[in-house]
Amino acid sequence: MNSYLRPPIVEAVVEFLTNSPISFDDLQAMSNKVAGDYKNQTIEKGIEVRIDTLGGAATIHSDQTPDRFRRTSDDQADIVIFADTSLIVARAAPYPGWDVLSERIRKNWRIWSKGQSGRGVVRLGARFINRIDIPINGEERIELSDYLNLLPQIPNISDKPMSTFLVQASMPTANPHWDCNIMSTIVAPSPLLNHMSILLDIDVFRMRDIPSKSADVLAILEEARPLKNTIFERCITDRARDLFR
Amino acid sequence: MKGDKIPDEGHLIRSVPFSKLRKADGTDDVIGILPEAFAMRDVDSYLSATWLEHFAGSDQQKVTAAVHTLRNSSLKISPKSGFARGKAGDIRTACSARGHSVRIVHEPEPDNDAHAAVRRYPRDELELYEVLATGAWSHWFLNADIP
Amino acid sequence: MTRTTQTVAAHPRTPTALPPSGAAGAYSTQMNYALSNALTRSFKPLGDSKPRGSDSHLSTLLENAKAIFKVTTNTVAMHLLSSDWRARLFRQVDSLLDAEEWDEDDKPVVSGSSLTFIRMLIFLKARRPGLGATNDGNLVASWTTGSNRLTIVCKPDDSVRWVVSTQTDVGCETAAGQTTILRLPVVLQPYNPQQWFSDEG
Repeated sequence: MNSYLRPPIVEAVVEFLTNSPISFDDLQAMSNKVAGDYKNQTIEKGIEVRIDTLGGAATIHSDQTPDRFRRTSDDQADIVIFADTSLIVARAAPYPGWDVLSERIRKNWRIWSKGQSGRGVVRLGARFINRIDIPINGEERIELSDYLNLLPQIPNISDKPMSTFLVQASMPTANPHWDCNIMSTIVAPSPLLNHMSILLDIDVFRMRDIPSKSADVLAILEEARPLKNTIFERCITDRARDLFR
Repeated sequence: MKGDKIPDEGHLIRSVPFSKLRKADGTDDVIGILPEAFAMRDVDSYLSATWLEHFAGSDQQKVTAAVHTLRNSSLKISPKSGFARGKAGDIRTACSARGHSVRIVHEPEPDNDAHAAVRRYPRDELELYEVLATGAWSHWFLNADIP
Repeated sequence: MTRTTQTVAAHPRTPTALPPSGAAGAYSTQMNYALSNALTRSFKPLGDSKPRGSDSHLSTLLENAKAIFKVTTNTVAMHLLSSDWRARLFRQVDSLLDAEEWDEDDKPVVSGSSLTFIRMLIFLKARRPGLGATNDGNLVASWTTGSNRLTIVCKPDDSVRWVVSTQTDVGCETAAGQTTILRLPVVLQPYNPQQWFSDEG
């Protein structure tokens, strides 16, 4: 795996999903336990809205979804979310590397998982969103294939370049237990002047044969690392790599 | 007396919050005043200051009395804030040089008998504010410097 | 058979428009939103990361302003000099937006100003300035080299107001203007802006 001086990861998200809901009081207690590392707390209230168009006129149903506790570090780069059926541990840029991230996951996992027996994780996902900032130096168009191997295939509709695109694919990975969603699109406008930016979102996840024991779940998370790295390297070109070195 | 013109040799001090103090590059070390310290808010019709010579005693005693008055007024004088000090005549001259004939008058307020108003003062004149911050109103001290 | 094209506009005019893992920060939240709606695809760097409080108390507003500034900075953190550089910048912002120091009549710093400030620092490759704020919620960046001063008010949408005072052979010279970040190097050229931006300055 390449190690980059300026990794383009703008967000790394690891999520554990369970089908055994956790009570508000337990979530509150978990959130309080991590206050030292994540000093800001927001209790997020969700509303699920459904629009039913069966039978003619649309009817709207709304239900309040359980509260979730979102905490962020003082520098806003580390995020943890305790929700009724999930634990999310995330890191924004600057990405400190897998070892640091996995240590943070481990600390939060110890609080969220229920001792040895675990919480019955039904989905485990590791999602890495990368932003490739390409200097434009006065060009009017950028050849996507110079930077990306995950591309839209467009017939000749116009001589003008695409104004935007969105490509998404889901597929199994080389590891039979893991699948992936990969996606690329444009960030408009780029957060940098004189640049155009492309997002490359790589989400590897496992929904099969997830061990029930708490300690074993973290062990299989390590399988995600080479998978997401391989996918990333296959989705970019050397010219893109040069931008992060 | 209310409405009296502050003489040219009189001095004005103006409270400057920490957000409008100039800091050395990349630090919180105060080295002066930002031009924004002399900008009026949209709701204001004049620039507020305090007339030093309203108070009795030595120069230092006047400054201390003025700061104490401001601390006891409705103004928020925070620990890291500061004050800009300038001579009324110099302030008039600096404004006049940029085409603004300001009136600096004594206008006591319930919580500050020494309150002065700089009237006909321009809004949105960043260059004039910089001229004041580097010249006529550039002398500064911190709230923490006054006992 | 028609040939295919894979070029994309360098200056896309249209903001960017399927269920993945959960969302935590700005990018994943908006990516999921974009996918589920496939209508509006604009990636604002602040996204969901701003603490949501209905409390309009000043300290809450200032905490929100700090959080927005930090989230905005983090989105481009790979282009900043070092993590130490970022940490020092955050300490400056924490001091600036300290509720104990903040004048209640001033508007807390608005998100558009923070974005302009960060975009400007990266574009100019400037050393860290001193920080201040205007009454109406815009960040002020100041650089001081001896008695030569540069002050830039960062307004939303890459708009900046600048004022310079420098010592010349004939005394102090001042100049001011309003422009965009992209034009700053041109308008400041007569005043040798490297004296304020370079680390050796």
